[in-house]
Amino acid sequence: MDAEFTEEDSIYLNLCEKPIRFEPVSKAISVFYDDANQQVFAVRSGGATGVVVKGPKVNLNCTFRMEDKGAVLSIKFSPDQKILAVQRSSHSVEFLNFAGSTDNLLEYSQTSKNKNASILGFVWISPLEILFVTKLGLELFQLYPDKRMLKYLRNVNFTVEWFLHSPENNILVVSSPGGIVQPFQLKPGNIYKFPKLDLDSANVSRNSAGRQGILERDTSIVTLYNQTAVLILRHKPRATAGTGAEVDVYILSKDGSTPKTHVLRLETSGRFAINVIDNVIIVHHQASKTSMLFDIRLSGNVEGPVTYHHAVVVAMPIKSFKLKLLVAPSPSLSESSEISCESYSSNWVVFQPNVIIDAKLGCLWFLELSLEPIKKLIPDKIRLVEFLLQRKNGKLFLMKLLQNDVLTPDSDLALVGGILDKLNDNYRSFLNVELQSQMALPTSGKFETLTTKGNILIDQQDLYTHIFSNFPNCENITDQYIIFALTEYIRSLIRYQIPVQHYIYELIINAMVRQKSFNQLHQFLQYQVVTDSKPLACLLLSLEGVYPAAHQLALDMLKRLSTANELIVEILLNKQKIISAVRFVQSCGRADHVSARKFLDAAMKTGDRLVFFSVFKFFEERNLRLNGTPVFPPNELCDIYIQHFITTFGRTSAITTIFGDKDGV
Amino acid sequence: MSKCGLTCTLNRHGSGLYCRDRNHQREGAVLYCYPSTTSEDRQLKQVGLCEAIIKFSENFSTKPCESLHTQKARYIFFQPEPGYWFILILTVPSVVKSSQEGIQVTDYKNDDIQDNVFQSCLTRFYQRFILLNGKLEEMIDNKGLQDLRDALRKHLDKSLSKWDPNRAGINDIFFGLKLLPLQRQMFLRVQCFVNNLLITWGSVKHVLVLQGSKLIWSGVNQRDVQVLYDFVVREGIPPDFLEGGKHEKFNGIVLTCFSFLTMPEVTGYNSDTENGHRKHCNMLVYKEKQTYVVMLVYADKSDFMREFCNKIEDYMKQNLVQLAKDLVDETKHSNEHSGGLQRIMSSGPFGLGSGIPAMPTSLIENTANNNVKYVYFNYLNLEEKVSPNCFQGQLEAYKLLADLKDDLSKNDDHGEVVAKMESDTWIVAKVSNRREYYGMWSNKNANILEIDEEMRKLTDVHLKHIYFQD
Repeated sequence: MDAEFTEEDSIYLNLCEKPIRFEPVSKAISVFYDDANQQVFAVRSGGATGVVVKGPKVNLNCTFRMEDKGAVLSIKFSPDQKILAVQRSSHSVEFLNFAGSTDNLLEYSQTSKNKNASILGFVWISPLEILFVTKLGLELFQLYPDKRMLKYLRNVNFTVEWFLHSPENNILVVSSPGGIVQPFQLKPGNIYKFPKLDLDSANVSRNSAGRQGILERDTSIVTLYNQTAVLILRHKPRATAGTGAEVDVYILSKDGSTPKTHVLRLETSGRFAINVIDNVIIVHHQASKTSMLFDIRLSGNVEGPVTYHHAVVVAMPIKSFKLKLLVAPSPSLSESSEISCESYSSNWVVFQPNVIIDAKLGCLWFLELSLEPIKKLIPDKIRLVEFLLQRKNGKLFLMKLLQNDVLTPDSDLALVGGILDKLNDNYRSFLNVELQSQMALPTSGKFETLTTKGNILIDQQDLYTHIFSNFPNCENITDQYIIFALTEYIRSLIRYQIPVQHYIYELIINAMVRQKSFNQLHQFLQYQVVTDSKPLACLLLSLEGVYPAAHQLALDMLKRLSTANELIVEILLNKQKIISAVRFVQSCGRADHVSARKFLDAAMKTGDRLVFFSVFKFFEERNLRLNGTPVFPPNELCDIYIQHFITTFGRTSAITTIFGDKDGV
Repeated sequence: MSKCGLTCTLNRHGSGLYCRDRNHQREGAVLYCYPSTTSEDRQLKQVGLCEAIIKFSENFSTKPCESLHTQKARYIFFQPEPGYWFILILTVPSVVKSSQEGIQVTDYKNDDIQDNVFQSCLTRFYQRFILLNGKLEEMIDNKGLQDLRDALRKHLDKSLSKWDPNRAGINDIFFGLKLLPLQRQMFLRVQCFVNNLLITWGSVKHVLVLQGSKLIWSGVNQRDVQVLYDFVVREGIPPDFLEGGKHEKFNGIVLTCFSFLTMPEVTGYNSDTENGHRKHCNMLVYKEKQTYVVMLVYADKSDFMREFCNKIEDYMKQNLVQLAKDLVDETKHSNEHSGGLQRIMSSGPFGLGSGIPAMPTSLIENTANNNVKYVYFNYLNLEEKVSPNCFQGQLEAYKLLADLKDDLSKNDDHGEVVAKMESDTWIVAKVSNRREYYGMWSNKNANILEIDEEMRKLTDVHLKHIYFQD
């Protein structure tokens, strides 16, 4: 039982709680799924006894009847649900206007433009545009529902074996004889060709033993990290047997070619199906009844242009459905629960991105991925962080992970460093994107738009508010550990050239002061780990009492700032280093602008006759230089100092002393 | 010939170093005397004199007597622990001159011996001794008088035989650390490496990281770092290794182990707090490329060593190898940056690698061509910078620096002295904010204004990024 429990705990895939139920497939009922509108069509007796349409959007569910004109091959609503397209033969597609009512549905028909070409299927491109895929190419039509007719717009000639359509980005992938896989971008009124996939020729010829080229069921179009990718399953990728199947990933791009960039190593063989949730590729394996997870953004083995990936975590089954049925309070279904719970049944059909349909059961599920179990299944924490950074709702998990398992005194500092590097590498990429968006973009020319490395961002503010600022409140966290952890963090930030926020510096400096690690603080400042700033210099000044060298460090910092000369003067005056202050003012060329009063006042307060005399003389000389006379101008308000000078030295001026005395003699 | 400085060596002129104890044994017991050939009678005479002087001087000051000047000899006193005295007796150098009448007159050059220099030298001898042996008092308590005598003889005989008092000067007072300038990124990596070491190995108490003979990081508090650094550079690591180069093949982990060091006991990692008690430490030195990691491990447990070393070696292999490689690249890079004069220029005097921008080439050449020599010392971080081959052949000028230092120390906070020697050497000494800077030029024809300008240029280069009073 225990074993079962632990396995249960680590199951990361489950079917949604409430499947969309429809009438199961039988002799009289055929079922269709339109992935563009995510609607299931249960067609009873060719539509004569009713068509039931169901989907996740309940308001779009409907029931209607239509004439039985033979077996339906394909049935889909237009994107706005106003026109129904039904294909019953390889020559034509019929249309029914659903504006307002579902009664008296009169059909109008459109054959393929090229009479010889049999229609393989059709795709709605916009509410009034439809694309026919025939064996000889693509044909685009405009609908005029009021006139109950279609108008031919354009075509692309192309021999087509099969096609796949992805509604997400409106990408059509067409396979032609000779192993050509050609993607198209469909846009209202237009069809754009992508460069065709650079398939390995060896691979194609090997497949050609059975049928030509790539099989439709081995191909999927998915969206990964905002890019459309074509995934092709290869059952025997190598000459040497026993390596298992692989999935080749081709990312579509507008220019150049479309090479294979990633390979997912499945390490098993048999039948597979693919879903994608939150940019995670899920490969279901029927024989073992398990599913594997792949993430092309995680690091893998790079061989040339291709990155080889292994499953992110150990393959696990989808959470059994039986459990869910027992919980479900539906007595009518409970009898058949034994049969219905079969996962990975051969009746399953998988659609993108995360739809699983069991036609025999009459269920449509959305597959769900939970992150919590995955945390336990990735022992390598750095990899786990990489993985979580890519997940839409990974931030919460990531913060919890950092708080509970990473930034704690018993975790390995090297590991902490590695994880922080991952976070900041990602942080940097967010800053780069922000920077680019702030800069004026060149209007012409190719300008590569930067993308962020991860999906979510953990910045200094996040770590500060949720973790670092709580450190002093945690009993088991010593000041020493705060210093260690913050040093790692600052190292990592600087490594990625991210400006460190002042509150991070303050935390570490305060911890050093509490710990009395002044030696360390000194070395930090000396190597300019801490960026110079006025507030920091003031903090240092306040430390002089506990660490005398802080005064020197503060002055050095202010000097480097070069905007804080006033402050340096104040500090020197405050320290009664009047002569130093005067000399400093002189050295930075400010001697003509400072207030004489301030210096004389400070000099008088020292009680040192010599100092007062020197300062007095210095300003008299200044007066002489500026005004041609040593006398202090009245607006300088120096009367009391002149008075002090007279009472102390018995003269009125320091400068004229020699001559004055001579005159006196 | 006694042209400059002290002509005496301790050997030749029978000057001596005495260590005296008067608490535990009869008054004036001599613990150690150098040279050991000194007759007992002479020893007693000298010690008796010193003791009388010290005793006598106590009437006038609470501070212990520091030196005694006589025409022919100089006595330097140093009391490291109550009741223990180090006494250095130096023969005053002399020149015999013939007067016009043909009478020979001996001219004693009393000014050639500077008290402050030799006071410092004695302090160093003591500090080195206790680094390896523990305090004198503790030794007597723990091991007895004979052991202390043996230890002193063993240690000081070796040190003194290598010591040349004629070359003692201002650097003996500073006894500074040579710091490696580094980008802060690299410094932080070293710092994180050290933190990791400390947090992983609880018994590792202090870590020093050196690149060649330059210090990157020291976790030892300021009072002890100088003597430890000095020991590591002079004895802990074989000099060939420090020079680098030919011993490349020993890359990987080289282990030196000293198991007799004593350090003040500390609590915490980098804490400056201590209780004055000294503890025995083992010193482990690891080398990778030119990076040395010096660890001090408390020798509490007897099972230290083999197993511990094995584990820590694995750790080093994992963590130090890449770091050392990057450090070599980084220092190489900064050397290339500053051209051939890397020893002067790769760092300003402050170890502020990143803070000191690449210097304009003209300035570098300028300072080089002018044959300038300089010494910089900061009392607050104990950093020392000396121009390469400092003061070779200019011993007289070098010795004068100690006098200038002494003069400047009478000023309260800052000051400047410019001097021209008979040999036409100009010396500028500047003190500001606990930092000292000495420059020396051998321009025959320069006047004081030009020298002032030269000094300004030099300090602009070296002291740009700190507050240093003009």
